[in-house]
Amino acid sequence: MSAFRKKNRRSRKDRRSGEERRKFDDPKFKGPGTDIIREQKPMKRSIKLTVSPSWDEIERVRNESDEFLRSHMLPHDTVDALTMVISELIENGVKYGVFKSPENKMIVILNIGQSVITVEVINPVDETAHYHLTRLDRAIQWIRGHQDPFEAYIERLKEVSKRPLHDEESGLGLVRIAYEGGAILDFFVGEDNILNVSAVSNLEGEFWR
Amino acid sequence: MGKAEVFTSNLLAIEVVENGTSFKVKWSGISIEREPARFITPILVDVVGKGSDRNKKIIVDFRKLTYMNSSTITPVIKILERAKRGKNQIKVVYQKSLKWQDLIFSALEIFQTKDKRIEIKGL
Repeated sequence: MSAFRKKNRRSRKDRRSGEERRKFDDPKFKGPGTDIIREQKPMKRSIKLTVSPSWDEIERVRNESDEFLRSHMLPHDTVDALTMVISELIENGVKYGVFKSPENKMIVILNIGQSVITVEVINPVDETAHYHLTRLDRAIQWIRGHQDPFEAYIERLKEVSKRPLHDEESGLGLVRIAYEGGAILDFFVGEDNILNVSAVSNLEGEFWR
Repeated sequence: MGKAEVFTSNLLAIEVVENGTSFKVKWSGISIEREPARFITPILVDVVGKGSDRNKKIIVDFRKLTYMNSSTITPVIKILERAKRGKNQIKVVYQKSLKWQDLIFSALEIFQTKDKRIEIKGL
């Protein structure tokens, strides 16, 4: 498990430039032209949702996220993409998280930054999750190994389509997040055996193909 | 209007309409089940079988679908992959103006055949 603790987190931070990071992390920073809007109607730029590890919760979180994103006047297509990212990550959390007591929940954080939107899904794991974490690590590295996530998506479609009809594993979720969601995936395991999987989507440039 | 059957599972509905020349398989709602293939695969296998037996084209229409999880894509691509090797005529229709549908379904053009026996069409 310790193998998953630091390396991925560092690589995610490195993707933001120093200037971008300073702006993003500075709570006093206000982007150009945003002051008047903020004074008129202060809006929360992030939400944190506590989610029971139940499949039925996914639709509730989708609806709440959808409402939050639309309140920020984001385009419909952007909202669709981000709710897909959230859904797919929660599905994985429910499937592979280790919830030993009713108090164990998942946390979903959605943050709208100056130039990126970050989705984080956090859930407990333990040593039994090592196999899943290894697969998660390999899948993310595999996606990153492609110049264009579209190529990875097509490759995975071809592979999955040839599997037996009764084989129920999709294997498309993460690559779909990278392709359709235009997001960079990452993960790390905290000291307290908390898995944090994040998807960072750029609000400019490459977000929409 | 031909003979119609509607299958539902949670928030997803699949309507199968048979007329003189084709089967129309119309999807609507949201597909977010944990194992949607259990619901979807038997419907698609049955339609593909009947289409083959009765020599009718199959039109799979996703335009009214609001969302589908990645596990929903799996049975669809497995059916298309198998249909490539068969004789069925299958046309997949999606709503091109919806970005998510355009991204997901245009990628399925890899299953399209040169003679358009299997066709993926954004409308």
